Formats: sequence, structure tokens, C-alpha cells
Amino acid sequence: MAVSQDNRWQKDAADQNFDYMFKLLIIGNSSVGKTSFLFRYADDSFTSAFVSTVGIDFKVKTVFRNDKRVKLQIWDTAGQERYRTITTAYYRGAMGFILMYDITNEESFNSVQDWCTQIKTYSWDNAQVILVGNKCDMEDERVISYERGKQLADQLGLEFYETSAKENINVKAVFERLVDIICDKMSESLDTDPNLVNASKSTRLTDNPQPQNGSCQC
Amino acid sequence: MVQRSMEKLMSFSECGSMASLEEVTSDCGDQEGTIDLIRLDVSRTFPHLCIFQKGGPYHDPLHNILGAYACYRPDVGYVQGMSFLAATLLLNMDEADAFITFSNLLNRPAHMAFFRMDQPVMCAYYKAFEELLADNLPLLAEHLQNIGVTPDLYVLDWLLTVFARPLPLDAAVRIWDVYLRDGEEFLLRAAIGILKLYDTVLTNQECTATAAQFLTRLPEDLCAEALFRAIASVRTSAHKRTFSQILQAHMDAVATTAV
Repeated sequence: MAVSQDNRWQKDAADQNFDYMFKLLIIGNSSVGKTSFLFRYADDSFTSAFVSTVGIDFKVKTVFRNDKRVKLQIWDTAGQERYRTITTAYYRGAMGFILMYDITNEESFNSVQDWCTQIKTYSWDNAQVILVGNKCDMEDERVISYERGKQLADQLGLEFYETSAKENINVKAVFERLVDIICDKMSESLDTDPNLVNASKSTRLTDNPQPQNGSCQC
Repeated sequence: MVQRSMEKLMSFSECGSMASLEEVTSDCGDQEGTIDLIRLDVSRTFPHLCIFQKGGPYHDPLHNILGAYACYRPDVGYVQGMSFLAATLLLNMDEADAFITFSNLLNRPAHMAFFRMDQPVMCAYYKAFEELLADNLPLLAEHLQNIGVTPDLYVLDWLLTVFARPLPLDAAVRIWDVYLRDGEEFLLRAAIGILKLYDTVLTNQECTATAAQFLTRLPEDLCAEALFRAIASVRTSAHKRTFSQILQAHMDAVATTAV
């Protein structure tokens, strides 16, 4: 994939240890388990004693995909509505989203549509989204059936997984799938528009995630 | 206890028209499930101390303070990050005093603006911070800018919680002491002190997220002594302008842009 030639965003000149860099965001209502999910993936750890996220947390993980080293910059956002005005500024430049709800919390599921609208409004069109119903280990407290989740995902045109950060179910699968569909989208765009490869002119894919001063709208 | 806090508060302020706690609670309960969110966050506050969790001695007091504040100031409500402020106060005083101190603390301009997510004012603080950073640590300031680590990525958390979330508690409470004495200028001074302490580490980071990750999860073995030595050498005036002049200039600039 020749996109890496565009070193404005793909390759950090000073850090040659990866072929691609993807910025991913985890979003969803407060307390659905975003931070736990991230820590399970990045550190393979779980604690029920997590601290609430204030603003944003970050994790970096490099994975191998199709013989390429893909560096994932994962942004974990505070879920409270008040923070949305701030966090939506970081949607720009994100190539993938994990939109999470909690299968034991109806309200978090009801907010999925809203979050989806936020993505459409603030991110670029090609951003890939996976819907995730977390805490599937808590079967006794489940209020959102797998079918409802799947149905909503289909309606919104998203892929869907149920996961458990606690029991380590599907966590890796979600990230791998997200990376795959981002890669697919990238090569698809390159195939349909060969100009993309050397164009510096404005393609979505080569959109440069500028250093964020987004939260300062001044 | 909340009642007592409220009564005590009433005698200190002139907001005479406060309805009964139950009525107000149900009112603000509608706002994005404030009460639920407080409940969730209380147990996610200093979890390693094991005293704010359900069944712990400070669980109810912390819950009460945050709930009472959401009723007292429905225009501000409960915002994530507040639990760390209230918890830090509770470690140092009784519930009623903690509530009063908490309310007063949130009335300070930086906190009021940040908890209400008043973006122009937040932006002015970030700009003032950047100016002071450039004055104190020009190379690091440039480097952070080059790799896209802007203050909004980490300063938000630091300011909102007065460092209680990102720093080890012993270092954080020392910052609180000076902050309560010197005012919010010290918040920015302490923030620059942290960057100074980790100047070398940060200069070697080439990736936005890695550097931001470091700043939002500072090393647990951070030495308070070393931090205060770093803070001591931080200047919060630049080019013969005091901190308040610098901040005001950015406030004015932001206001002009907004118009």
C-alpha cells in the first residue's frame, strides 16, 4: 500500500518502527468500560478498580497486519455528555472508532444512535466504526440482547461484537477487525482512485491529522 | 449530613430559595442521570485507597458532597473530575467543611470555566500556559508543538483535579497547599514544573499519543521533592508582565476572536 509514501501522516521521520499509524478512538457513555477495554487490549490487564477518565487517556500499541507494522494510537475519551464539546474536536483525523455500550445498561445502548451522529458530524467520511456491546460476562444483568445489538448495528451499517474486557472475550478481535477494515478501505480508495497515491491534494485518506488545537476554537 | 451541609451553606451564602433536598435531587436527577453518574464515579475515585468504595468509610460522604453540589449549582451540575477534588478535601476535613471548601474552590475562575467547559476561557488558559512554557522551556515547548501534544490533551485533567488524579497523593497535596495559598497561578506553575522534571523523557518522545500517555499517567514513583525543586525555578511572569496580565491578554484576544 503506497500510502506510506505520504510521510506527512503515515510515517514519523524520527520513528521508523512502523509502516502505518492509525488513530483510533473509543467512545460511548460513561462507565461502559472503555478504559478497561483499552487496558485489556494494550496491557492484557483488568482491574475493577479503574479510575474515571477525565478528558482523554492514551495508549499506543504496535501490531502486525499483512506483514506491515501498524502503530495504533488509541484515544480513550471521557464518556460524560459535558465532555463531548471537547472530545468531538479529537474525532478529526481518527481512522477508526470503537463505539461502545454496556449490555447491562439500557441507556448506554439508547445513546448509540447519538454517538453515531457525532461521528458522522465530526469525523471524516471514511472513518470505520465498530459497535461493541461490552460486559457480556454479566449475563445475569443483561438487558440488551445480542439480537438487539446486532439489529442496531445492521441498521447503522456497522460491524458488531459483544465483548468482555473482564473475561477477555473478543477484545483483540475487535481491534484486529477494525485494523483490517481500515486497511481494506485504504486499498479500496487507492484502487478506485490511483491519483491518491501521489496526490498531496486533498484526498480523504491523506488528510493530515493536524496537531490538535481543535479544542481551541479561537 | 447533607442537610447539615446545606444548612451550614445557607448561613454562609445568600441563596435563600433552596428547595428541599429531595425535590432538588429529583430535579437534577433528570440531567443525564447525574445521580447515577455520581454513584459510578464515587467508587472510581482513588480506588487504591479503598475508602471511597461501597462499604468504605468515605463512600457516603463523598456521594453526599457531590450530590449536594449538583443541587446547589444545577447550572454546573456534576462533572467527571469533581470527585477527585471532593475526595481530596474529605481526606483533610469533615463532610460539611469539605462541602463548603469544595463549593468555594469551584467558584475560582479557572475551575468554574473548566467544569462548565467554557471553551474561550479554557483556551485563554491554554494559551497563557503555552506562553509560559515557551518562556521557561523553549526547546521542549517547540518539541511538544511539533509532535502535536497541545496543552488541551493533558492540562485539562491536571487543572480539573488539581493534580489529584495524575500525581501521587503526597505530591498532589503539597501542590494543593501552595495552590490554596497562592491561587491559580500556581496551578500553571506546577504544570510547567512537571514538564521541567520530565524534560528529557518528553524530548525523546516522537509520537503524540506516547507523549500524551506519559503526561496523563505520570510515573507513580514521582518524587515530590524533585518536583518542588523543579517548580521553584519556574517563572510565571514573562517579558515584564505578571501572570494575571498574561492571562488577561489572552482572555481579551480570545474575546476579540469570538466577536
